[in-house]
Amino acid sequence: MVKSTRFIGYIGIVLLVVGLAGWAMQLAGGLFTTTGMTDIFLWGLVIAMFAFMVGFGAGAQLVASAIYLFGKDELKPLARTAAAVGLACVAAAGVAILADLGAIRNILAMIVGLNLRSPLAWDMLALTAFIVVSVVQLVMIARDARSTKVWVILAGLCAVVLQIVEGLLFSMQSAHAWWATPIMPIDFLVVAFVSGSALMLLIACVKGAPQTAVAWLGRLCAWAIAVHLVLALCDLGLVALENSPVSGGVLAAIGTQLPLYLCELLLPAAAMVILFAMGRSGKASWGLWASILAIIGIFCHRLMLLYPAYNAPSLYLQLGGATTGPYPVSTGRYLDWDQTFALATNYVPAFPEWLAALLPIGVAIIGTFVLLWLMGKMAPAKGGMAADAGAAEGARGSEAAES
Amino acid sequence: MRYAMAIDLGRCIGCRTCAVVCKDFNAQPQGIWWNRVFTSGTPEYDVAVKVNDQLRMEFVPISCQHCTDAPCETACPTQATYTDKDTGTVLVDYDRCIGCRMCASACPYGVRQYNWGAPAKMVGLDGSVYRYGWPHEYRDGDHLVYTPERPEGVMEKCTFCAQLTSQGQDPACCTACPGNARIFGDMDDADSPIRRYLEGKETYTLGEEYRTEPNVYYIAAHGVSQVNLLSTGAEGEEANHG
Ligand code: SF4
Ligand code: SF4
Repeated sequence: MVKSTRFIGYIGIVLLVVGLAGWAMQLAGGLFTTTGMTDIFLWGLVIAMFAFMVGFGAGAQLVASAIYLFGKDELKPLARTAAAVGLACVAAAGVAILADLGAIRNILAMIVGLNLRSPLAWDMLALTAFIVVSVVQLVMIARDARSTKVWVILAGLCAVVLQIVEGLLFSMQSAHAWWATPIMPIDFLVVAFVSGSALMLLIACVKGAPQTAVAWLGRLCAWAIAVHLVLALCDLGLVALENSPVSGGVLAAIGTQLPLYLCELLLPAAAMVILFAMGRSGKASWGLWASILAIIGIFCHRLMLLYPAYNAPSLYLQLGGATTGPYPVSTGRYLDWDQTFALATNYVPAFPEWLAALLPIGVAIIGTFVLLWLMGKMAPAKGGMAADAGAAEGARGSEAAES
Repeated sequence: MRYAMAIDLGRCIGCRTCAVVCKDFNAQPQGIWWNRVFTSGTPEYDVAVKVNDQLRMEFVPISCQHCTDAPCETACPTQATYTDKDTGTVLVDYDRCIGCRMCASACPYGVRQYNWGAPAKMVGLDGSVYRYGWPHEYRDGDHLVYTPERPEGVMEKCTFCAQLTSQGQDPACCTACPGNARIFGDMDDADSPIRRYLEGKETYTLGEEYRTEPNVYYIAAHGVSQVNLLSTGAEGEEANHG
């Protein structure tokens, strides 16, 4: 293994160990003492991480599928990496959900007596379907089988379904005006394109992939960001136009997180401008910066999935035909907490949550390495071209990164 | 059978007895409140608000609305949250709950309460731990829907006191309310206390925009009987007496 690749591998192992330690702290101490969540703010950093990682997973797969669909043969080594990254990130997202459960000892109930009306059940099924199809696809790619293209495209379809289901998981909750829009599932899909192309752009730039690859990914990412920003602003517009007490609460909650909200809009916007300016030149340094900005922006976007949803009250009372105001909720907190009942709680992730949030990243990195290694092992003796090309590309990339 | 509750806001004096009795009788751990009472229009308790130029203070107790079309039940992936077919009561099976919090996220009424950790025991002034509440576990068939020792990381909420109603008794809050503001019964039985109480009365349900079809019916407080002295000054006083 080349130096830079090995370095990333070490980082992956550290993240994995630290993340597991965070999860262990949560299991041992209970979510009460180890997180900042409340009965108002029900999902925190780890769920934001879940939505973040699943976007990379589905998105990287979509990049791989697009390369095969459009017959971009020169990009096939990249597609191979993208498909492996896709599976590793989706598996990492699954780990994030598990790490967030409060009573994982009852997990068998997810299999025996699954409620097929629940979007979380759809989510589990979509995740499983994606993982199964993706594994077959990776074997096909590794073996350079004739039916590879079919499987890669099938995995792409699974990625589309997965992202739409993730969107529905939120948009079907009518108790949260910030989520209950028809835009949510579409935007989840578009964000997957942004995340996947940004991540692959980052990898391509670090690995020193050919300029054509960088340029192609840059264009894909820039257009995806453009569509995402339009959808995000439409979403905001829909809420603002509603002009109800509930939507007023959402806008107020956005206001209290304004710096985060501005980051979610401005960082990807800056990345988009850089990428459009980069154009066909495919300058790796430009692509690198743009992808980093886009990824941080999408992380802010994922955090902002939660704040305006949970910190906007859903129940308003009426008196004499007039709406009087929102009704307080029991926070579930005591002793260390000054409010037993509140309308909103200021969520700040606790230290073990930050640690646990690193677990999915560790899983994704180590998962990618293991998958690529296994695929290398599986390569047929005669037709190992794809694998060789991938390895050669990797070596080239690392040399470029080191120089 | 369809169990339901009527809450007559005209009879509610805002004493919060129902909230305390509920917490005590159902052995709710620290930080957990299945039932709460606030004054309409203010996050503070016991504060009047100005409505149509009148100062008004209406207490509104809120606990699980036992929705006919319960979003919490739809959201729950494991069927831990389910509707008891015999009574229409929405219950949680502690043995099936994985603690994903989908249900609480989906409930528009903010009534679901989560055990974020191993439930904390109540500690007396001398540091001793004391037990309170209904001392036995209660199962609806196979489902564990009540136990005084809550398992860690599961969701809980109002059960309409399943351990009592299954014996033909009223939920604790109905029995304890000094104003008799809470009336329980079977909506399918024309002769039940709730049906007789509601006869001829105008009711409303909470959060109608969420189309959950609650089984808790509210009766609005009686009309304003005082003229607001703040806005009418001395004349108001006359009007008030006259
Ligand atoms: S009030 Fe909330 S917890 Fe109760 S049945 Fe309705 S949605 Fe479920
Ligand atoms: S927290 Fe428990 S009851 Fe609620 S949705 Fe999850 S499994 Fe169902």
